[in-house]
Amino acid sequence: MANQHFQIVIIGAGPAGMAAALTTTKAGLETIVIDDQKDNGGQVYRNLQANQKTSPAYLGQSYYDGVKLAQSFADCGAIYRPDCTVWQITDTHEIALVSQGKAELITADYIIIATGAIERPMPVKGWTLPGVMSVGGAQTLLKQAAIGAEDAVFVGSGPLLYLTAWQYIKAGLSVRAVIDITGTKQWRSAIPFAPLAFLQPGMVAMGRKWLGDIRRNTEVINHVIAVEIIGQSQAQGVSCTLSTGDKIEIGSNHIFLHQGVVPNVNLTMATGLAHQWDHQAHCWRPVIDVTGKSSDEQIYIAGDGAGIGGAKAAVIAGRLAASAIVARCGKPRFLAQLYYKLRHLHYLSIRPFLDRLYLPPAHFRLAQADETIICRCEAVSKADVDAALDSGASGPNQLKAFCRAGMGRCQGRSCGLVVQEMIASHTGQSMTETGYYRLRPPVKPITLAELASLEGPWPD
Amino acid sequence: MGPAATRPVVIIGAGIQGCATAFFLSQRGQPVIVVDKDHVGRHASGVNAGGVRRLGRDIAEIPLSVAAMDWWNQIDQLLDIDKGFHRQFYVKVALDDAGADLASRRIQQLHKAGFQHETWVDRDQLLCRIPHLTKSVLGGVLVQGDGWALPWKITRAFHDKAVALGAEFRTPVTVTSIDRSGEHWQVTTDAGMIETDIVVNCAGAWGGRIARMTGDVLPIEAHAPMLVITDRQPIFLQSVVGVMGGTLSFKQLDNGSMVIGGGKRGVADVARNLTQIIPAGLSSFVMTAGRVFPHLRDVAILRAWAGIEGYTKDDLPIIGNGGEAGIIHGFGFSAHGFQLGPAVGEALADLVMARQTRVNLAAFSPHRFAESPDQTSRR
Ligand SMILES: Cc1cc2nc3c(=O)[nH]c(=O)nc-3n(C[C@H](O)[C@H](O)[C@H](O)COP(=O)(O)OP(=O)(O)OC[C@H]3O[C@@H](n4cnc5c(N)ncnc54)[C@H](O)[C@@H]3O)c2cc1C
Repeated sequence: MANQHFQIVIIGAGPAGMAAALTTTKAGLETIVIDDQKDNGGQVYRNLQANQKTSPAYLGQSYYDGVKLAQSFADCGAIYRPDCTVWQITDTHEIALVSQGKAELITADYIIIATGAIERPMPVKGWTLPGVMSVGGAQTLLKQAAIGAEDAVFVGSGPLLYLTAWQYIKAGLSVRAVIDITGTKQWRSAIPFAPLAFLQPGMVAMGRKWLGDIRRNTEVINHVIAVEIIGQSQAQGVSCTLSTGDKIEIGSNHIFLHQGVVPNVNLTMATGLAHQWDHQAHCWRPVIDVTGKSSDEQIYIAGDGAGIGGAKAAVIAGRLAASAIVARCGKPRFLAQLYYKLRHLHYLSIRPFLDRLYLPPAHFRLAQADETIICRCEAVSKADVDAALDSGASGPNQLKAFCRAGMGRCQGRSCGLVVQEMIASHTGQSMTETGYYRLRPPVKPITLAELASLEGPWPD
Repeated sequence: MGPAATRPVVIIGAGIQGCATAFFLSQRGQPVIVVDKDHVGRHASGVNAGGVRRLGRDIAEIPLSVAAMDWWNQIDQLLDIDKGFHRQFYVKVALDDAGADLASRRIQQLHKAGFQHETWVDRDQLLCRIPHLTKSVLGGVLVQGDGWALPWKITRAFHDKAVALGAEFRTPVTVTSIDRSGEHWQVTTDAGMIETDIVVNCAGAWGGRIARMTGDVLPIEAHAPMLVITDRQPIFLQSVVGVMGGTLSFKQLDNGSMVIGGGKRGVADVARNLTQIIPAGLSSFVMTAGRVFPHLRDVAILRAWAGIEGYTKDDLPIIGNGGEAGIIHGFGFSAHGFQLGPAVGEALADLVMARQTRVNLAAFSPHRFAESPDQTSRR
C-alpha cells in the first residue's frame, strides 16, 4: 500500500499548530493536523469546546482567548486527526502514526512540529509519593474534568504555578499555601530586563493580578531554599527550609509541584534535528531560523516546542512558519512574514525577564537528598546516579547503561534535564558538552499489535 | 611464558572482542593499550540482542562457538560478576511445514558433520516447556544450555577485569593511521602516537577501514540490525525463541521486559556513528513475534534501536594474521559475534603470543578474501 502523501503535515493542534493550519489551508495547500489528544487546543486551550458551554469564570479570560482560534481552525478545511500519535519521523520524511490501534505511514512535503512544552522536572525528596502531582497535571484535571483538590499546597515558581493557584482560588477551592522558590538572586538578574517586559503591559498586569489575588487568599511563603515532601506511603505535607534557616511544615495530602516549562524536544531530537543549549532559559531547544525552519529544510518548528513563548507567541510562530512554507510553495508572502516576525519579537519581549526570574535555583534543579528518585520509570535514586558517575559513566547515554536512568516509558522526559545537570556538575563540563539522551522511536509507547498492523492484523 | 612484546600491544576497538582480547592478554601478563573512538561497548557489543547461542550457527563456526560456551559457563567466576549468563535453552520453532522441513534438514546436516547439540522437540514437548507458544506450532530445533546475557554488562565486565589486571584503556581516542616504522608500528591517534610491535584490529564495522590502514583490503559492509524492548510483563518465558526459516530472536529479561529482534536492518551511518530505524522493518519482525506469542497483543514497546555491525561476504568473521607481520584482525562478526566473544578474545591473545589456537581458525582467514592479482596491481 502506497503511503498517503500530504503537502503539509502539522503535528500538534495547540495554538501554534492550529494557527499554522489557518495559513496553509488559506493558501490552498493540502494540510493534515495530527494531535494525540481527543480535542484540539493543546495544553493551554484544553477542553475548550466543552468548557465554553458552562464558561466557568475561574479558567480566566486568557483561556477563552482560544475560542476564536479553535473556531477558525474547525472551519479551515484541514484534515484533523485527533487521538493520533506520531511516533517517528524518518530521514526521508516518512511519518509513522498510530491511531485507534492501527499504525500508518504518511509522507509530506513539509512538516510543522508544534508539540509544545513539558514541565521541567522538580526532583525533591518525596516527589514520587501518591498525592504529589505536577501543577500542569492539576490544571489539566481542572480543565478536563472540573476536578480540584481542597487544601492543596503549590510549590515552586513560574507563571503556570501562579495561574493555576489563581484558578483554584477562583474556583472556590481553598489553597493551603503557595511555597515560592523564586530567590532574591533571580530578582536581581531579572530586574534589568523589566523595561522590556513592559512592552507586554497586558501580560505584566495579568501576572500582577494573579499574584495579588493569591496573596489575598492564601499564605505565600518566600525565601525558601529547600523543600521536602513529608510522608511514607502518601504525601502528608511539605517541609520547607527558609533562607534564615527556619523550617516550616505544612500539612496537606495534595501537593502540586512546578518549576517552569521547557520545550518538549522528544520528537525533534528523535528525528535527528540539530538542538542547542539555551543558556537563558536553561533548556534544550531546536536550532531554527527566524521563520522556524529547523536543520532539516523540510521541517519547521513552531510554538513552545521551539522555545517557550506562551500561547500568543505560539500563534504568531505558527503563522510565520506556515507563511514561510507557503512562500516556498511559490506564493510570496513578504509582508505577512515581516508582520509576523515583528509581532513574534514583540511577544517574546517579556521572556528575558521571565526566564531569568523563574529559572529555578540550581539546588532545585538538582536533587538534594540521596534517596530522592531521579528516574521515576526505573526508580533510580540520586545515590544510584552518583554511584554510576563515580564508577566512570561520563555522559547521559553511558549513564543509561550504568544505572538505567532514562530507560523507561517516559524516554527521559522526567529525568533528562536533572541527570544531565548532575553529570555536568560532576565532570565540570558544560551542558552542551554533556549533551542529552539519544532518543529513540517510538517517541511514545505503542503496542506490539499496533506496530505490527503496518503488516496486517495481529495473529490470534 | 613471558610477554610476547615489551611494548604494549595496541588493540583498536573496545567492543567485546577488544575487551576480551585485552582481558586474556592482561591475564598472561602482556601489557596492552586499548583505544576506542567512543566509549566501552558503545557499538554492537553494548546494544546487541544478547543471544548466547550455538543454535543455528554455520558449521564452520560451531567449534569456536562451542569453545566460547565453555567460557560462558564459567563467566561469573572468570569476571567476578553475578548472573552474567542466563543459561536456559534456545529454540527455533517451526510454524509451518516449510519450517519443519528446514529443521529436519538442518539436524541431518549437523549429524553428518558430527554435531549432536541441536535436537528436534515435538509440539507437545515444546508447549509443555513454553505454555504461551502459539498452539499452531509444529515443534522446533532446540539447544539445551544456550541462553542470553546483558551485552553491555558483559563487555564492561571484560573491560573492568582487564583494567584490574593492568590493561590501559584510552577513550575517546580515534585511530587515524597506522604506519610501519622499521620493525614496529606507529599507531597515530587524535590523542598522540603509540609505538607498538603488534596491532589487533577489533574495530567492528570500522574494521575494514583499520585494515586498509595496515595495507589489507578486507571489504566489509556496515548494517544496523534493529531491536525493540517492551514494557515489563509477568515472567512467562525462561528461554530464547526464534523461528525456523526466519530471523526472530525473542527473550524476556529478569525485570519482565522483552527484547525482540528480527534481523531486519535499519540504516547504518558509519561516518557519523548514527543509525536510523525503519518502521516497516520493525513491524515485520514484531508481526513474527505475534505469530509465536499471540497473547502479547497489547504489550507496549518502549524503545527501538539499532546497532552498527560489520558484515562479511560469507557472514563469517575475519580472525587471523594480516598481510604484514604484527597485524592481527578480529572483526566482521556479521551480527552473531557476541556469543563468540570470549573464545575470540582467547584466540586473538593466542595469535598475539604466537601460540597454537585452541580452535582452528582457517575458515576465518583474512586471506580468503584476497583480491585477484590484477586487482591488487591496481592498488
Ligand atoms: C542489533 C544487534 C543484535 C545482535 N544480536 C546478537 C546476538 O543476539 N548474539 C550474538 O552473538 N551477536 C549478536 N550481535 C552481534 C554482536 O553484537 C557483534 O558481533 C559483536 O558485538 C561485535 O563486537 P566487536 O567488538 O567486533 O564490535 P563493536 O562492539 O562494534 O566494537 C568495535 C569498536 O571499535 C571502535 N572503533 C572503530 N574505529 C575506530 C578507530 N578508528 N579508532 C578507535 N576505535 C575505533 C568502535 O568505536 C567500536 O566501539 C548483534 C549485533 C547487533 C548490532
